[in-house]
Amino acid sequence: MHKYIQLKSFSRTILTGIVLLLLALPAWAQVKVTGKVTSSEGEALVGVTVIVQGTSTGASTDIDGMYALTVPSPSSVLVFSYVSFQTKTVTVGNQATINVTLAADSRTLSEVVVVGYGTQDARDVTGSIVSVSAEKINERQPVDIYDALQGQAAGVQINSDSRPGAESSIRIRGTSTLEGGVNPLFVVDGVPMDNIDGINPNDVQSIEILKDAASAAIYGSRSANGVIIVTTKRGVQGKPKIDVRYNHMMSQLAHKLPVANASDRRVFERKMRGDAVNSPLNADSLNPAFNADNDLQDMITRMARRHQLDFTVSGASDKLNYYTSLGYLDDEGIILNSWAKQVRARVNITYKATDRFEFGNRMQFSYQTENRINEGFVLRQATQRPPTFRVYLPDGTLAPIIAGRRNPLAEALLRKNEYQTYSANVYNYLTYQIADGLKLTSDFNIRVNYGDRLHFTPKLVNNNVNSGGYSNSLGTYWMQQNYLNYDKTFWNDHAFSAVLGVSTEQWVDKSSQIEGSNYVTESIITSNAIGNKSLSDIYNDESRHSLAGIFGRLGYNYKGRYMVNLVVRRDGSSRFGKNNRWGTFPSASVGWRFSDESFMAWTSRVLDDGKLRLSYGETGNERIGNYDALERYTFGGNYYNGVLGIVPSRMMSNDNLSWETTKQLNVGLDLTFLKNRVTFTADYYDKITEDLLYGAPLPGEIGYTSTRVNVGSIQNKGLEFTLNTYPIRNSNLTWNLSYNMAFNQSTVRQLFNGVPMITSGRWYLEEGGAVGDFYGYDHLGVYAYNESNAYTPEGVRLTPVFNEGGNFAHYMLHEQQYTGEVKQMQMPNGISKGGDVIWHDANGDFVIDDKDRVILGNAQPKFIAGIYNQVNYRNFSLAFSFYTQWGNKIYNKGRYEQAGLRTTNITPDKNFIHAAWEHPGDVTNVPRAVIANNTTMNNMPELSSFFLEDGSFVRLRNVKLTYTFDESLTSRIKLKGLSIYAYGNNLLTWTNYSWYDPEISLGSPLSMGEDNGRYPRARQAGLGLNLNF
Amino acid sequence: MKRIFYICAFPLLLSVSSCESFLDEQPVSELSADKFWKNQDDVVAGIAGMYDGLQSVVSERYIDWGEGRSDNFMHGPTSTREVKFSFNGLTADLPQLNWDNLYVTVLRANLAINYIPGITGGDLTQGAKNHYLAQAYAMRAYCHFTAVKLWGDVPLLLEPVSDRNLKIERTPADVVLAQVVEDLNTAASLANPANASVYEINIGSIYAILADAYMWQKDYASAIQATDKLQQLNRYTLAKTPLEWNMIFTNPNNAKEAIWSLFWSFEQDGSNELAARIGSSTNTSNYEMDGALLDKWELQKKDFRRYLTYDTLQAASGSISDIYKHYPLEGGVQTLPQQTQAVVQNSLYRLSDILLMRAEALNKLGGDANKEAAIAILNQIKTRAGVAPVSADQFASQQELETAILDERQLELFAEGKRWFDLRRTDRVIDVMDPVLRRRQEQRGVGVTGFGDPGFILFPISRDALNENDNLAQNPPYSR
Repeated sequence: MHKYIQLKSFSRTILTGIVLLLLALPAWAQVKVTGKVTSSEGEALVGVTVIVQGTSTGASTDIDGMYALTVPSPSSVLVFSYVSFQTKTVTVGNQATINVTLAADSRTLSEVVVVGYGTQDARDVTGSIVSVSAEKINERQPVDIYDALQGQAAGVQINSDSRPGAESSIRIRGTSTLEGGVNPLFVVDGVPMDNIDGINPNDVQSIEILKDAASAAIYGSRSANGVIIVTTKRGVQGKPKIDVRYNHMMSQLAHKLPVANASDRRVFERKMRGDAVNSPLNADSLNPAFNADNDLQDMITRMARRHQLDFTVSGASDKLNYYTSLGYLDDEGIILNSWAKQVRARVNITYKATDRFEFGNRMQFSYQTENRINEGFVLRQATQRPPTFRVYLPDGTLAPIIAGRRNPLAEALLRKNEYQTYSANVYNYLTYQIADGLKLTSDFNIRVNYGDRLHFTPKLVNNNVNSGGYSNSLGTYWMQQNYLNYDKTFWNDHAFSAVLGVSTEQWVDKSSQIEGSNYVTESIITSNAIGNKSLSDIYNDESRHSLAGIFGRLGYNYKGRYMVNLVVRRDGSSRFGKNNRWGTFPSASVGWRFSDESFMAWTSRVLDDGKLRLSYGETGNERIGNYDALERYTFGGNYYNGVLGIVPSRMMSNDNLSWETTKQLNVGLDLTFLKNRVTFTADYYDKITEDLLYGAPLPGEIGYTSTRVNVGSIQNKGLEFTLNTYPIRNSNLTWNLSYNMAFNQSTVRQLFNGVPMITSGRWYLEEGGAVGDFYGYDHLGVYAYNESNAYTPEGVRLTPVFNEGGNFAHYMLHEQQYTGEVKQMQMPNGISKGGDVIWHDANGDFVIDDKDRVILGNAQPKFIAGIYNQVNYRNFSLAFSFYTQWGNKIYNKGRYEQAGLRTTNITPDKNFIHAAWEHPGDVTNVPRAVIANNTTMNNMPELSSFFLEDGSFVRLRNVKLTYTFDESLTSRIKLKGLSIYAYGNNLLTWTNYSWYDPEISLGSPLSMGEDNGRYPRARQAGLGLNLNF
Repeated sequence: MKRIFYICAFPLLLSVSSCESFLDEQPVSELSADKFWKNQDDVVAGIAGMYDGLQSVVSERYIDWGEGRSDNFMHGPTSTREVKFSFNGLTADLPQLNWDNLYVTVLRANLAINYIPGITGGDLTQGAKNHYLAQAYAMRAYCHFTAVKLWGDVPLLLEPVSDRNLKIERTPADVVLAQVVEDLNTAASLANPANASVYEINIGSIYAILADAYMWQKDYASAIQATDKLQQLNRYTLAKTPLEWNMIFTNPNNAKEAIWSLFWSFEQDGSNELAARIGSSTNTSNYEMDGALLDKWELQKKDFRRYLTYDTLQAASGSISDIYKHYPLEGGVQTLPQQTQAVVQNSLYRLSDILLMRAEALNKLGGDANKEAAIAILNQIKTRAGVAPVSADQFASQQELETAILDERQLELFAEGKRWFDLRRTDRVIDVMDPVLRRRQEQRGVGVTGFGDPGFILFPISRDALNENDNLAQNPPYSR
């Protein structure tokens, strides 16, 4: 969905361009008109569009509200339009000066919201839809659409990944499915898409986010996670407009981890050995391989640069409208040798052949290439490898694996993992105006994605065996839709709108791969050089999926006061069992503009507009494997003794497999106060997903491990608020402040046969719990003395008392000497002693085993919020925004890997080393740093609450300061517009989270909130320039 | 108006009419079930798939199940899960307890048993069909047998399951064992005696499994009969030289002693998990040789098995973390593979195993003649290895001779997944393991509790299995 804000979002530069155009016109124009445009309060209005009706001739008002233009004849009609004001038309006649006063428009902006197979007036929306305009997108210098959207819409959680070229994760109104696919549906210019990587955010005119079921239901079977509609730009009436944008950015590691240096490493070795004194020497003080003091984090990171260049040409005449763009992005990552480059192009053309007949196309092409470093081997090794180990050999070449620890620098520089993606999407449509208000649209879309990947691991980094491979994939997709739109208003007050249509879609995906090891030479890394091809990893395959749907919408609106919308879609998917292929998704919504009622007249001084919305609908989810419903035999990897075996799929078939259905109730309130200075929107939703699609575990003894089922239910409830204000709005200074906030609470209501699921031993999904519940052992501290492990039979811990000689005397309980029975906490391998972890004994049996695991927290935030500020003062504009996620837990697996005391050569961080328990009486929460002690006493099990951290953060997301030059200046150098800006992203973050960054990829619903030491976040700053010709 | 209607309706109709067939997508790179089990090619592929199932079981669990809990191995320095094996502290959450792959193989065998008889036409002769069926029956028996050895009562599956809601109960161990024997006898009657591939189940391996199964039933006479039948095939002889002995593990196809080994190819199957468990050049092993066993080996310096089993230079350090028995001799030296490049032809049955089992059975039957015959077998194995023979007067009781046989098996069959099952079969788990565990507990400075509850002799049932099927009960005293 896309919202057109009439002319506002085309920005002032375009309008000034039109002025310049006019100046260039030859002098045959006959009438010259000037004048001033003011508001009803008498303030001069800047940037008001003045157009000669029926032509492309126009101008805009300057800083004093003045305009000047030349019209063809006295009968010309001037149209004055301005955001938030009512449009006014004036016939020129013989006036040379036309001063106009525009009245504020209580009907907010004359915005149009794209709602899928049509548009709606923003005033008449009855569902829950958020629009994000091009202006707000541009304030961020985004590299992709996710970047542009974060924090802009209540209830939309976006977590970006800092790796160049990485896709972000997005959830609308919580996680409402387990394995049915969690992303919303993207619809770009009417075409459903699985991802929006190839879309240049600079090409975007607007983004609409359809959050509630009633809005999304028109997309039926794929809309359960919400729908994001992206509308790209079109040309503006007038001569060709050429825009050039360039920006340059530099970034560096935002948060450096406190890794150990050589001195810390020696302390660690002392603590591992249990020696009394710290040796000033490294463990093997004569071996040159072990006597460095490297800061590996410094060695693998860099100041990275990014260049972004965009070039667009657009324009329109009465019949033809065109917009083309070409963008180039060269993005270096802050880790050495990680980079991504993109070229994105777009051509949008609309041609009005006759009054009734129009056709057009939207074409999009992109190419992306990326080298993806192995984050585990580079980043995690950099935090784990002893700083004393050398990185270079004496001859200056990179050192290989030493004592089982990889060389992170060699891993970053020598391992190759290049991706290339080519994508093209061509959408064609034609519309025919059959009768007044009745329009037929028929379209066809074809998309091709080709991707390949070449990876190679040289001998040096892999124990003298090289390996690698090549894979590619070709995805094709076509869609054909036919639909009728009917829009008509009867007797002025009764507006009807209707849509009826059908769509068919098909996906065909092919891929192939070759893998092997022992390349004959390392100079050639194509697959012909592979010495040992790995047979089970060599294949090509194909998979198909088709979808058909019929849909309709009926809307009725009485005086803009009472609104009703009914939507129904019936979809059939090839993915489901033959008995249940079709699903019907109905929805209904109503709106009531109570501010128009006569009994509300007393509020009209303050309240411009008030509307209540109520909607209910059902939406579907079909994102599972293409053939999950079928009983299949698979092959490819099941060799035995030279024969390729054929085996039954481990997933049992299900002829009754069908849609996952999400039922959502939405109640909303929209209020506008004080002549648009304050708008407030609140929504409450209750979303229940039923017939959950997931791979339910089956008893392994029947020979199948899972089956795709439609059982179970998850509920998400929440509240969302958006407040948009103009604390200051006058001719010199405007300050726009908007705030949004969303609370969500999720509950698992039902599972297949009530069987709880433990994912990877760390997440627990049970009825009554929530998606993303962490499951593990609760770390309560560390026993200071051997004698500290003492409890009453009721499980109350006793305090040991020592006499003057330091010998144990007796126990105290509640400040009294305790003489009763003393129980000790036991691990499966023995009794816990001083320096061992105090675990929460959940079942009270004084044995700590896996029955003592409990829910330790949840990975979903309690609320997310965004604050957006835009201040315009004369030629300056300053935009900055904050983003926050609050109340979620993150499993800091990177730190667990580093400080889990697994082997002697993995070095924990500085803080851990110094806090580790060493002598009886040490009071700390870090256990004894003895590896064997960990192995036998299991002081570091996975998952321990010690590594579960608060993931809350508040971030200064972006700041941008722009200076726009006066047209009077730019015109001297033949420019229509020129602006320069400086900006910064991710400048400040407030958090208690200890690893790189608390904004981590959301992951699968079954394993959320794990940070396994991912690509670190960068602090970014840059400069840019926009030119309009 | 009518014209408008047609314009509107036409594309709608066009799109909707052919929808059902449009939505009927059949797999392109997979086979739908109704197209399989039709001809000889399908049978060959289906049987290969069945072996592939067992390959993953054996690759992962050869040591975990067969020796991890025994006095052969101690956990490695960085292992956390294996600690529970070495200290008799198994818990239901351990991934090593998962039996899914075992039963996946049972399903594949059951599908073969179900569908092969119905395949008609083509070149598939009745004899060939029977031999494939024999392999399927024997595979089903082998899998159930393995399960019984570990968990006691286990689910018994004799046909493919298609009901997702089936929650099968555990069948008593003796009933499962009886079915194992029945399946093996069926297999023996169907097998083509001419087929002798060491990588496939043939008449020889069927008799070997059968002998083993009779031993577990304590039916020693039948066990001896089965070994008789095996020897009457005149197919197997003991390896004579160190090189021949090494070939049993590295090239069983050319080793006269090998009865059944699982084929492994790096290019087809990837890396065998055994290297990660007990020895590779690139990772710290999950298990190390138990110190007491190392001492025992080190007393037999002339035993060629010693230097073909582990790196004797490492012995000075007091612990052996790398076992290279399974890797070929190259220029008189064995080298460990990388963890990700291991090729191991896991031996499941070989003649030494069967002969020593026969000795065990003879000893159990009693009588001087049987005792002499048992000692003769024992000495055959000892002298072959270069170890001094023993004589009847050294053994005052059946118990003592059995101990000697088991000790010999411990060395001969070390790292072949046998020791724990030997202790189970002869009811010696507590006798042998209680002192071992006390020693380990003392050395580690943890509470000395010995073996503990005799219920721990069985493995616990995995918590996942218990969660997925509420008709399964845990082996006491393990908890869910």
